[in-house]
Amino acid sequence: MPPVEGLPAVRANLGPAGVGVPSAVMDEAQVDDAVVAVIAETDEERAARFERDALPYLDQLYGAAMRMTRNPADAEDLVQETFVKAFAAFESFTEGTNLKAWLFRILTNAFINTYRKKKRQPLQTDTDDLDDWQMRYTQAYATGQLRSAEAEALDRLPNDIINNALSDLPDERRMAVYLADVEGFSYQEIADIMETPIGTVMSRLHRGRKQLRSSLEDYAISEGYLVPDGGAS
Amino acid sequence: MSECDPCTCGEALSRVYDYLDQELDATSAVAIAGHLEACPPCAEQYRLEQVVKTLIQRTCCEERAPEELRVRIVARISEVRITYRRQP
Repeated sequence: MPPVEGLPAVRANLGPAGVGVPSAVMDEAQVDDAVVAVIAETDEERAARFERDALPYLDQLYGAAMRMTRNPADAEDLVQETFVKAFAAFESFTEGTNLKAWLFRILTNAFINTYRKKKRQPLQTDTDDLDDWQMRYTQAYATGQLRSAEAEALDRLPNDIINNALSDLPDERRMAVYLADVEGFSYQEIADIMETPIGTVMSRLHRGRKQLRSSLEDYAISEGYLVPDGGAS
Repeated sequence: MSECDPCTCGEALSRVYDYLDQELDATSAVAIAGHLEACPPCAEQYRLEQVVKTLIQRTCCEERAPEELRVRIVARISEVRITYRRQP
């Protein structure tokens, strides 16, 4: 198979702590057997295995692509590109390892490297380096500022409001929040998918959620879902 | 870590996301759980974070890819396959 443009970053083995490393799921002998079976398979067999194993993630990848690109046409292009790249690299994917994380990594990579460049939009990155999250909570504690009605108010917010708040987050925060909360990936898996240290993942998550919560609170107050207590907000 | 004072609260709140995402080892998780039980203000903050996480899940879980996209992808995959085979 000839090399496919833009693929070198995508490998079945995703690094030492990696997503694609054979884990407890398979012992060494099983992995060897799988490797032998994969090498022996024909193009048709590989295509059938790809359709059977990878294609079921279509809806999930499309959902993520919608959050990344924020429009259906671009999401479709991005997902198609992801599957074509994944299929081209599928020979190097170790069966029995984390296929979902592998596909999400190709998607994230395609979004950052192809889609953003094509659109001539640089990736929105985090600029503020001070995390005042803990201070905010410590202050809330110190002032005894209790908002027992807030959880109920937020819970009643319509979906499109939450969608808008999510769309307003910078790309990297939005992706970290999406991968953790919707897809349920662990911090380590997100670090592998986004190719970033785990500390960066945590900081993107913290900031993303903080920003999200504060914009939802603002909306809830301005639309009368939530009445600020004692002038606290 | 069950008592409610600014020091233990600060520590608990600094790890509330790790707790929420089940990223803590068992000992730390038990310590945070114990504190949240004893401290209503921290428990309230934790509950709000839980609500926001659930809201995101609720909003984002409805997405379905158009059937036409699935068809297009399957077609592209067989195209790619044929192209590779034709090359010397």
